[in-house]
Amino acid sequence: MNPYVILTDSSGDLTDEIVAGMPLETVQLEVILDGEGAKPNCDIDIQDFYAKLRSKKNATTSAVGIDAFLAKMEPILQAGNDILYIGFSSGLSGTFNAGFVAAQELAEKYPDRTIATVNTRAASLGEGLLVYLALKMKQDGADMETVRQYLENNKLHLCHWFTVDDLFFLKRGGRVNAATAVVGTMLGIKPIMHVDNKGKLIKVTTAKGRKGSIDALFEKMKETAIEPENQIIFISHGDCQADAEYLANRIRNELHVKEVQIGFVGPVIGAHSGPGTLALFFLGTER
Amino acid sequence: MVIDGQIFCGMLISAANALDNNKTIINNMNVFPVPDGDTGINMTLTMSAIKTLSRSDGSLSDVAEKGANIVLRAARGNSGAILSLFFRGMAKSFRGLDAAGSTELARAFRRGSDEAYKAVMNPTEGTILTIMRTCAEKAEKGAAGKYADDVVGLFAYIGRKAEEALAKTPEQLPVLKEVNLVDAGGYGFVVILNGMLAALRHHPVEALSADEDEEESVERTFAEVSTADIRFGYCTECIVEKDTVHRGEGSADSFKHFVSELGDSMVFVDDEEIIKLHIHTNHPGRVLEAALEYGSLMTVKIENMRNQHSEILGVSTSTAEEEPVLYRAIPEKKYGFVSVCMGDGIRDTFCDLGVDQIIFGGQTMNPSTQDIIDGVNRTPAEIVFVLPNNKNIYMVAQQAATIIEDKKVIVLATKNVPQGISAMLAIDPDAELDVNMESMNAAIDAVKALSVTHAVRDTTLNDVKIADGQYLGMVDGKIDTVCDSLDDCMKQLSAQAEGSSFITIFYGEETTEEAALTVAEYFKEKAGVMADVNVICGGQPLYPYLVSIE
Repeated sequence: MNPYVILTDSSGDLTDEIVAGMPLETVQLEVILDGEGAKPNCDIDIQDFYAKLRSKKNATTSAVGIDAFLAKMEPILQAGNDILYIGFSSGLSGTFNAGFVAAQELAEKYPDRTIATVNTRAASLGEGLLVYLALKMKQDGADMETVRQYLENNKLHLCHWFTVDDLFFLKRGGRVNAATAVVGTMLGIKPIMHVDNKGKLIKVTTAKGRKGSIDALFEKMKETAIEPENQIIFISHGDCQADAEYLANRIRNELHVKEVQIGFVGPVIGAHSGPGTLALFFLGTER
Repeated sequence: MVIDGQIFCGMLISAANALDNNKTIINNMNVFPVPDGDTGINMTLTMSAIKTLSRSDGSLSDVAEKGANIVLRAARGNSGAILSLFFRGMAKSFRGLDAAGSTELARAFRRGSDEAYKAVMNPTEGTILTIMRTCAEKAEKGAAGKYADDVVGLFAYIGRKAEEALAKTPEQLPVLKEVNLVDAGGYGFVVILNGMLAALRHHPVEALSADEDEEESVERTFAEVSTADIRFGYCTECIVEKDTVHRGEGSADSFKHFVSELGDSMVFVDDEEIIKLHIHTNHPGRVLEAALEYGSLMTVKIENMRNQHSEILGVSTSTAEEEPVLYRAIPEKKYGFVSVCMGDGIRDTFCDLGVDQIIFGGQTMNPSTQDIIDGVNRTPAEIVFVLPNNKNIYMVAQQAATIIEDKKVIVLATKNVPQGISAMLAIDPDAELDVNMESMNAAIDAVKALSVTHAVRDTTLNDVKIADGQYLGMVDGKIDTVCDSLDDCMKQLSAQAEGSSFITIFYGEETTEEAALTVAEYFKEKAGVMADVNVICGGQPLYPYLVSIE
């Protein structure tokens, strides 16, 4: 059996801090900010990025192409490794598909290597949490097939609950259909959304005001979380640290989880979700 | 003497005129010294539709029935709704009768009073209901005794007793005593009785012309109301050459008398050889047929005045006697919403929340039963919720609900705009009706509504002295604070926000955004950093602020 490398894409929003030195390879999606050209996700200053979004600068993203995957994967294979690619929801981006095509192409070229792919149907730190769990298992000695199986079995238990401050960004990016409107935007009514089993963004309900929406995320977790006391919880935010802390504290104090990690919603997702996005990720009975 | 259809019709019209002439007085009899007194306007608009009744509409039964239907659809405000139910009860009692004597009249008063009582969930003594009931009791007493054969005397007796009952209303309702007023609705009813009595005594009350009545209500300028105001549709003119039998001046007195009953604005010249006639009537044919008995028609001219009027206004013709032309929207969805509100911003907010039809109205401008029926008909849904957003519109909305047959209509008990908005936020388009009802009603109960307006006169209420021009801060309809400055008033009211998380401030047409943002800070301070305080330009009149707290 070959050693294996875990590969992901930059839509998983994992930071060095969270990964904590566990070996991980990442392909970069690109972000195009008004008049600044395409930049890989990792080269963007996140606070500066959100400041630009707030000043109504337009941001678009581009998926990772097959070429980029080939360029990333081939050296890993050449070095004698198998690859486990844990990718961004195919419901939101062409990235996973490009990775899948690249893997098939390389499988012919390197018949004695294995490239496994997992379409997480997840995004941001939801995808990141699956990658993190995989890294932990690998660290604990699990082989690639065991990890892959675990991910396949658990990915639809990886719940994403999030709220956005302004649906404008999701609509602009085509990430929700135009009919997903929130009634009462004038009154500050906020959408409570999740990522469904197809990996698409769905508005489930609404909440009154910002605090109401954050509390609603908490309630969703309370309803469906499996053994929260044994879980590591991820929260990602679009430059609203205080709100993330408020949510984290409620979760720590009331659900007694093992650990809460907070990170930014990175530029790739942030370009579509906008400033003020707050997302909560945990393992639950169902998405 | 008996009351027949023609006489009753005259009585109703006289009552409507009497109300019209007194509406400002009635409006000013508002317990709260706030600028939204509307009982006079409501009762007047409810009754004035009756002026479209033509004088020769048949038996008493027919006239009463037609009159009651007109009043029912025109009803505005609680006083209007109660009034319409009274006339409805009368009409039911008169059913099948050509004319009424004392006994029948007494029965009609009883039935009218009973029907009005039935419709009010918690009848309060010292209001229009008390007056109606007193009238019924006295009518029965009078008809069984002294006035058994004197219907005019009976009516006069009822009127006197009604006035006495009205004078006692301050004793029955402490709030009236405190402000030294009689009940406005009761006063209006007494005006109606006096108007009817005047007609019964052959001196019907005429409408004062518009310029004599300085406070002509704004909505009366609406085109459709104006066409409805033309009581007689055809300007009919003819010249008759008298035949030999009828030659001689003043020979056509009986013709003159007959024609005068068919309309108004009559000019009648009874010459030696000719009769020259000009009259506004709904029955030009009858006029001409009658004229033929006196000779041959030299010239005839008939003009449709409603048409002319409509052409001037540029609207399509519709006469008051026709059923109103309705647009009925075919259901496209399960739930639909009709909301009553005032102010552009509040209207937009309701639209933003998914309301299908907005009916313009609220304080001082109560929509009629028909307005609400129209709103419901235009809503393309199987089940239509009506949000009156005002306690004075609730009854009329319920009345509308009973008239509509092809849709399920549910009137929510929203007493103010914040409750209406909360109810809209609670709706789940995919949920079952009972689930929605429960969550909407819970939402209505959970919201606290603040409103601020200014006093329009000096008074003392609940031992609090209020001076003209002071600001009144109200919490759920009850006066909470009285201040000289609006800012102070809001500062004090902001205490209500403590512990809440979702506050919406609608500032009115007389308030600036800047002032509203300052006020928002007071509420933020009380509610805490995590609370949402939204400031919306509501554009509502009379109320500088409406605040919803959850």
